[in-house]
Amino acid sequence: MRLESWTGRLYLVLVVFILVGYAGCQVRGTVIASAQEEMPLPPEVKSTRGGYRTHGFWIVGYQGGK
Amino acid sequence: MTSRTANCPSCGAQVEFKAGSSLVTVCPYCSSAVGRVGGDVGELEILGKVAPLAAIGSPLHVGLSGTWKGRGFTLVGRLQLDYGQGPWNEWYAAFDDGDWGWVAEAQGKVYLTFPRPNAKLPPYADWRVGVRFTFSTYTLVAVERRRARVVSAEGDLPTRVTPGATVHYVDVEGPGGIFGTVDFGSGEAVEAVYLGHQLEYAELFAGADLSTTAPSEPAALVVDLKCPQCGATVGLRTPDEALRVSCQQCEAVLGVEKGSPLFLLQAVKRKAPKPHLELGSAGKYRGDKWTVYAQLGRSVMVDGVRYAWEEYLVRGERSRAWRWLMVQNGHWSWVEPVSAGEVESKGSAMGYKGRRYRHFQTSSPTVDYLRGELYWKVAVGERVTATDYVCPPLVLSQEVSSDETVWSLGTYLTPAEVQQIFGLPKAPTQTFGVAANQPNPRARGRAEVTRLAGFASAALVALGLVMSASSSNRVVYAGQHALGTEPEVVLSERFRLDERGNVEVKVTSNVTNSWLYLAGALIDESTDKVQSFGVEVSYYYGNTGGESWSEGSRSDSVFLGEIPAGDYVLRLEPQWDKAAALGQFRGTPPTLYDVEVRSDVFLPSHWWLALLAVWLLPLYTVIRYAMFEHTRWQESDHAT
Repeated sequence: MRLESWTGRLYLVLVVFILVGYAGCQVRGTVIASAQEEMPLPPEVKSTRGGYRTHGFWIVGYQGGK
Repeated sequence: MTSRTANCPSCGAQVEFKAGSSLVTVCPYCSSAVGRVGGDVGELEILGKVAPLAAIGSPLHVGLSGTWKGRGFTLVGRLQLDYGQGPWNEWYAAFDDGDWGWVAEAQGKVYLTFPRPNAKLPPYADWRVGVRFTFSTYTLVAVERRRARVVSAEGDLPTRVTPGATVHYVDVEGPGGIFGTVDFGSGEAVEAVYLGHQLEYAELFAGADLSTTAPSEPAALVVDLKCPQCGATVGLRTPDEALRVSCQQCEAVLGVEKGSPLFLLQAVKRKAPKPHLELGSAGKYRGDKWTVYAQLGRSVMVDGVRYAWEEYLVRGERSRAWRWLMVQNGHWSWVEPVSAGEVESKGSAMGYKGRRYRHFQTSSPTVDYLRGELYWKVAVGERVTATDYVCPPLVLSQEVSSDETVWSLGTYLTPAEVQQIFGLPKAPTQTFGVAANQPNPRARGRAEVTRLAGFASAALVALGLVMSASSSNRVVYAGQHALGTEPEVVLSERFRLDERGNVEVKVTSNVTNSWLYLAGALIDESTDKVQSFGVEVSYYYGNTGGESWSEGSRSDSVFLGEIPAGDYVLRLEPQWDKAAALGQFRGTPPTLYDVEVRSDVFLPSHWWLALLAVWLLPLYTVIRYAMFEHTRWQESDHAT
């Protein structure tokens, strides 16, 4: 298909970008708009009493429910 | 051809019937129309005297030979007729094989017709222009219904014609360039039917050098006459054809009659504005050189608003055809006549050469002013009914008067194209608004983008199927946990993620008018990196005012992206609704929850997002295209 308009040519680039981007996201396991937060765990946590169970994670309190 | 000679009954000079089919010949000495009574030339009669021939610029002449479908013919005579708009020629073509036909000229084309067996057609009074009827195997349309006067003749004629007689005729057109004339003679009943084709000169006179036989076509003024109103000198470029001319000084509309002084028709009320194209200027287009002969201003009133445009009459140097350049709101159109027989009705639309033209507007435009010289008897204030049908960049127009219906085809031109054609230093106009036949600048982009979007959608479907099939969607951890009276942190068993990818944490709980929230952390034991997240399940239902309702779900998921391969532990810290009540609606607090962790999960939401992204620009171009069309049709009879 011969593209004569700049809109068509621009769109072809966009479409390739979308398809490649989608495939790349799927292969890499990217999650768009994920609420996850990555943080390092202090090295001493494992050796403390209770380990992960008692470590004060930053996720505290929930404001949800009805 | 068989030539027969005799003596003119009027002057005694020798007259010659050049063809066996000739019934009348004009004596070259006394101009008597001599008719033969029987099959031979033994008995002759005088039908009258013909007036001198009017000089009509034509490349044809008596004695000129041509061929049609391999059969040779010679023009052995001509008839001049006039219905009040100036005379025209009908040439009598005698074929070498004894057949004969008429050759007429109009708009740079020739019309070759042959006598056909007389069909049972209605009398002259019953005909109206625009009427369609079937003749032989053809569907024909009446395009002209007039009375004409036999003005003059020369050479031979195949029919008995009385000089000065008034004859009735109806011209008809059909598909494929078919053209014909229904001849009623001087009465009401059909006397003869002629049917043939509309042709180019070269199709009939391929061997003839028409340029040398044609009178010169000057681009400069050649005749100087005096304006009867102001006395200024008035020049004519086509003294043989012009019927109207405006005075260059006072712009009065003057009548032209060969051999007579100019006569005043209309003292000008409104002067023509400065033309975009100077009269006499010339430009090259479609293989011909076109000279501007006249400027005509027309307008129409619609709902109290005056819509005006200008038309420039141009003539081709080679083709000798008359064409129009029309300009409205700065938009130009190249207008040429088309055969009514080629136009077919398609409901409210019209069809022409495979294209469908939508009805745009029907109006009654009036001539406001004119400048230059014209080949028909136009007058300021003259009004016709005009209908436009559009199929950009073309507009098919019909003008109807009581005697004639004329179809024309306009092709859109930009001011830059007109500038190029006429070699102007700058564009002659600036455009505003949208013209009826202006090509939609978004059309090509819209077509290309929507077609590409179709291909991209198909590719995306294929890609989604491949991705879905190749996702392992493997359960790496599943466990059920009870909820006690106090929150208790739960740690999962260690599980392994074999490769980098996404992870789904799905939580299901027996919440009833209550909620459960899990503050989660996915802990990479080898790197001590933590992916924290939260997931809530809540489910409420009830009955309000007799209507049942529910909201939420007993199950929900959270997706974690780009989790590296490694050994992991899941930490969950629950919170839940111990009251388990929403107003009057009582529930039960959750007592347990299930957790399932899957790796390498196919995400439909991402597929839908990609599909949305694919269609965003097409949607935008479609909207832009529609907005342009909306603006176009706001100027039509179909405005909303």
